[in-house]
Amino acid sequence: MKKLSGKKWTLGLLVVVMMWVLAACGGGNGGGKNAEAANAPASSAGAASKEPILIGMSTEATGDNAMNSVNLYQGVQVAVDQVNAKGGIDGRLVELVVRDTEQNPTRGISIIRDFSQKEKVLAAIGGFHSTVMLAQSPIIMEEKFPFMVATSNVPASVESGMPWTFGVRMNANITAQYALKFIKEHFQTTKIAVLHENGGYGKGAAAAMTKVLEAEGLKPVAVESFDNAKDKDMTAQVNRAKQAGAEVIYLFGQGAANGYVLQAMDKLGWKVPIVGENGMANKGAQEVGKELAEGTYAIQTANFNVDQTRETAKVFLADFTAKFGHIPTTFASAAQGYDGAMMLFQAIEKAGLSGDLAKDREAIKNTLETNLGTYSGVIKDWEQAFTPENHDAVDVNSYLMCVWKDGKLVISDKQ
Amino acid sequence: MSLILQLAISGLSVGCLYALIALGYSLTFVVNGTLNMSQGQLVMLGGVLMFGFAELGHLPFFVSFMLAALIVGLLNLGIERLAIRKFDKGVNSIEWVLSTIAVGIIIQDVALYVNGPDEGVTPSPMGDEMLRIAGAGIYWKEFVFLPVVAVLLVLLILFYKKSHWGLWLRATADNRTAVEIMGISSNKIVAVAYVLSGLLAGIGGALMSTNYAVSVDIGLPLGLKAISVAILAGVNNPKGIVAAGLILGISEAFIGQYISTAFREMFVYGLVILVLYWKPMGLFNARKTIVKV
Amino acid sequence: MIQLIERSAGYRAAAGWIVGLAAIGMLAAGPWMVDTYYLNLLFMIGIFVITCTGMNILIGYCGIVSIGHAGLMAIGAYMSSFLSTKYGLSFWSVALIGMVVSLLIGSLIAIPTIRAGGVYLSMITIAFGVVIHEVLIRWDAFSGGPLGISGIAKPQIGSYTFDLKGMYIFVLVISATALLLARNLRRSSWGRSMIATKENEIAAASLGIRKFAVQYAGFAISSVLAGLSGAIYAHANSFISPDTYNFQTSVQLVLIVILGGAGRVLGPVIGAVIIVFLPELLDMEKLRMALYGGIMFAVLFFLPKGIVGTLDGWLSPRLRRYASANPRQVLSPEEAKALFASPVRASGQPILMLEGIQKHFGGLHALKDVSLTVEAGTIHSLVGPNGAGKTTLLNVISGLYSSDQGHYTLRGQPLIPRSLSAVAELGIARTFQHSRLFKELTVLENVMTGLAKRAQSGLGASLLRLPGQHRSERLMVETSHALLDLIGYEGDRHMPASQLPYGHQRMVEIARALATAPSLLLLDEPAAGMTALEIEQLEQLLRKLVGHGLTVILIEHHMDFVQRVSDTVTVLDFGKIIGTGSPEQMLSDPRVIQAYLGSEEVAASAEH
Repeated sequence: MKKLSGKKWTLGLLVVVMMWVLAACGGGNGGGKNAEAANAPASSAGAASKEPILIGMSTEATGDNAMNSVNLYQGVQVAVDQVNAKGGIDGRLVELVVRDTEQNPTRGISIIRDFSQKEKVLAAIGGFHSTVMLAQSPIIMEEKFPFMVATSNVPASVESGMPWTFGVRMNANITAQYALKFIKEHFQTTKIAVLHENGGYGKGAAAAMTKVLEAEGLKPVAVESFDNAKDKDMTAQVNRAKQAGAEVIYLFGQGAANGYVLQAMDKLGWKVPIVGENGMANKGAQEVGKELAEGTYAIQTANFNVDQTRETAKVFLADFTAKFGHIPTTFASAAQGYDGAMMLFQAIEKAGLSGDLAKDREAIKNTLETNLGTYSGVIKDWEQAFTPENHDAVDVNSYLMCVWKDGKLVISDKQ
Repeated sequence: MSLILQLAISGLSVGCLYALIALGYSLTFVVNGTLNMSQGQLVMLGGVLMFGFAELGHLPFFVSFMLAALIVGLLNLGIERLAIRKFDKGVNSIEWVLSTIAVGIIIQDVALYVNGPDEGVTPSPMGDEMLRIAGAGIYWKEFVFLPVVAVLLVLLILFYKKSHWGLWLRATADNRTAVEIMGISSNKIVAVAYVLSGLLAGIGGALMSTNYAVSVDIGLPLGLKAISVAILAGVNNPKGIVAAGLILGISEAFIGQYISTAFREMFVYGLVILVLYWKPMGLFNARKTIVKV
Repeated sequence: MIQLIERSAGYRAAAGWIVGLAAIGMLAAGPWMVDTYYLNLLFMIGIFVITCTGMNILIGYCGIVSIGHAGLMAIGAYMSSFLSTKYGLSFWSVALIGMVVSLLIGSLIAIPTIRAGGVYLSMITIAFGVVIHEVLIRWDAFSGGPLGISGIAKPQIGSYTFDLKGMYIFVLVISATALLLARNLRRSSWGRSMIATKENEIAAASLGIRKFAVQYAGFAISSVLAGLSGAIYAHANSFISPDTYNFQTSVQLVLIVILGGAGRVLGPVIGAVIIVFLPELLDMEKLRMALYGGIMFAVLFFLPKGIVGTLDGWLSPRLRRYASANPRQVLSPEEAKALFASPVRASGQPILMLEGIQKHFGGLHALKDVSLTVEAGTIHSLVGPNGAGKTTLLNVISGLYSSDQGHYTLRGQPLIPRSLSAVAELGIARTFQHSRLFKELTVLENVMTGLAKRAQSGLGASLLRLPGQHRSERLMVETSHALLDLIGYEGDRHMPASQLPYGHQRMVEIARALATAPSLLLLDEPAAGMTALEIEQLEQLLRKLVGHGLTVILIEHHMDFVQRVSDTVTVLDFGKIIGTGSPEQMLSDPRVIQAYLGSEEVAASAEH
């Protein structure tokens, strides 16, 4: 062992050089193989035209957002069922490739690569948890396939993946504009305290409200944060808002945490209007806050507790209830999931499929941007939902202000 | 003034919860120097079971309460058998830290699989009325935490001091072989300690679900917070743990009000690091280790 | 014959190199063979291998199970991302800064962690991980809060921007390097000292190894590697957020290490491959986390040594069958003399003087006013019944216990025995009543740990296996063989010490103590459990040692052995010295017989 160590180095060096050469050769061969693989679908497309159309579904089945995320997934499932009931797109059935991000950005990235390279999906939908979506967006841009962001409210989650990411979601900036207009109109005040959870969802909303107020030369009277999973006693946060003279609370927590805020307000004997979004709309806040939740506002894009006026919404609700045995628990997520998926299907149908994956993805993206045409959805009727500059389908006019009344979230009289 | 009182009593109920969970760590630590890192998930399980029995199964409140506590207690017996006994090999072995973390992950995910991600609150027999003390408010259902924890603490101390099992538990902590010589299996005593610790976790979870929403992912953060309480107080000091739990709950409210709501967590865990920096064996650790050669 | 064996070992090493390099070469061809999905997975494996190789050194070598290393990855990732997005610095400089900051903060956390030990150690690392996670969420100006940092620039060299392919090759090179460093470390004094400290802190300290220094080194290496992998990850994916670095990630890192096999160089590779690929292979939507938990539990339960460790435990005895018997040489007097430090040749002068030593354990008065003079170049035996305080006295002299009162003089200089390692450095070596060999190390390596203080090499040199270090390592191997020759050890020297028969363990332990080149050797019941033949060998050895100028303090119960070898005998009873004198004189003293037999009977009846 001792004697050979000098030779060992030489030998090692030799092997490195050999490997280098081998690697280079292997590289050449591998490249060729890759090209073949890319061509293969093109030739076989005609023969196997009845292959299902694969659509990726990136969801959060675990973690503290899972309860809301499920609604998005269910909404998409209803859309897929409806399309398949009509015989699919061009005679090809739609199949979902479902992946759980576990709220883990690293896993989220792997899922995007998986969708694009391994499963070879045509397009995908998802994007509930904002920080996962933010990690996914740059990778979507690298992998180049259309992705429908159906909930994540942080503006950048669509912007940093453009042109490949499209939003059917409540963009926090637009939501804040809508909320401010609503608050000024109905409560005649701009003294707003922002109470938000310290994840991407709450943080995005807080930043948006601050920005919107700043545009008018104002600022929130208080911005307080809490941890969705850990904090149970919100007395300090609420009291700081109260001392700052807030007249409205813009509340962005998830579920139960919002309920704890209501309890703290009750203890302090303080009552002001509360405006929130999805977090305020689901069962958790009501579960904890009980009658305290009465009269709190939740910004939504749909409401399934009332009679549906729109035809698409009626059918959607009937199908949803038939499939899952109950109405959606978070209205907006379900509606956006459904509309997002449907827009994607419409774009696929309009673009037509050539069989070349890269070309088809490009075509779907272009169709979404310029040639989607009218789409009548659960949320509203769109003339042309997206443009190359604007990838957010939900605008100020798509919102629906809802209010808790007798333990039910209904459409508010004030709009 | 009423604000200070409000902050104090608001922090109290959370503090009670910390204390209750941390007591569970203490029970096992004094006997064989192990902590069940899945204690938080057991508390979660207690809460989810409570909600399931009372709200979905429509069983009477106290029946559900007992069932939840018992099931978690028995589960902990299994955990001791599988994840502790094989791995507890002496003072410096910490394989059991990893094995119980693994158990915690499994409990949480299986609970998610069975129960789904829903959060729920079990209606308390105390109703939703508010108790007002000098302008400060606390719900009766929260207020009741305090006597429950007090009663449990007293029972625990009585158990330690008066019962045979309590005596053996303490003796095992001091000298395992001596207890074995007396003809009592030390494995059995450790198992008893684990069942008790599980019962506490179950009670904690069930109690918690009467005022706070329980869902499958509340376990880990609670467990970590409670273990910090236990360490700050000294893991083998039950009275100290209750005190530390209450103090932590209250000081979180005050830190939130007077310093920043953002720094609560950092404060707690920063304190743990500092305390262990200063006293590597915990603040009030009475146990001395003599090196034997 | 010997040359043939050496050559075959050499061929095996060369074969190892070839296989390793072939594997790396094949992996390097990866980007041209697979799509970006698999490439991304391979990249993630690389990231985990870098971090976990550091953690493997910490967990496997040092025995410190840190459940907060995601925090250190985060520091590297955020430092580099912040500097690169804010000030536009290049990847290469920010990655370096990230590593340095990670090292600094890792050092801060290392101090309480190493001091605490046991379960408190894990708690500190968990708390550290949580604090870092919280800071990242709250410190918007630095970390971007929960939304993280986007648009992190990819590394560049000249006009070439690293895409996923480039990053993958880069990570491959770094992780191969990290593995090589870990392997080098394991084959150096530092690595052996780490394992020695992990296995038996007291025995390691008695060889002059400072626990803090070696464990801190482990912490430092793992911090730097974690920081580096964090920086690479951030710049490859262009986005980071606190969610990537939570408690679960820390647990996952530990899982990778124990799954592969803690302390095995290739362990992290196997662990990372399984942890990254398994969830992708299994087409399960639900119960994925439970699967992780289940794997973790199953590994702890069924494969405590991990996959590589278990395979190795199965393979290596079968391979060793073909390995060498050891060269047994008779040392020339000159060679033997070279093994020892310049001996104190002033025979008859006192080397160690104790005056009025007192030691209490609670209510027990273990040493009562003990005064003793040990003359250089002699064998001085301590005898007395069980519990007389002999071992306590040895522990006090060697610095394991501090005495409550008393003065010490070593070679005329006042001595304050502060700690085992400090005393060891003064040239006092010892063995223990119960064998304290390092079971994970081979016989030869055990002896080499004793040399660690004599032939110190820098940590950097050990990691890189620089030529100078290589030479000193070879010298250490030769010296250790010589020491084993000296004590007359004839068995397999590359066998793990755990497999040694008891008598051999005692002899090897003496060789290990001798490796520190002591002038005073403390032996605690070396003949216990030895066969008559071995006792005879021991007697010869002790005479040889005295011949080389060593002084020996011996605790022993074999009275005829004591009588044969001792120059002086001191008798202790109930912590007090009854008398000191020549063996014949002392062992026939009626007081001694009374104390000895009287208590011996009591002791004997207590044992049954």
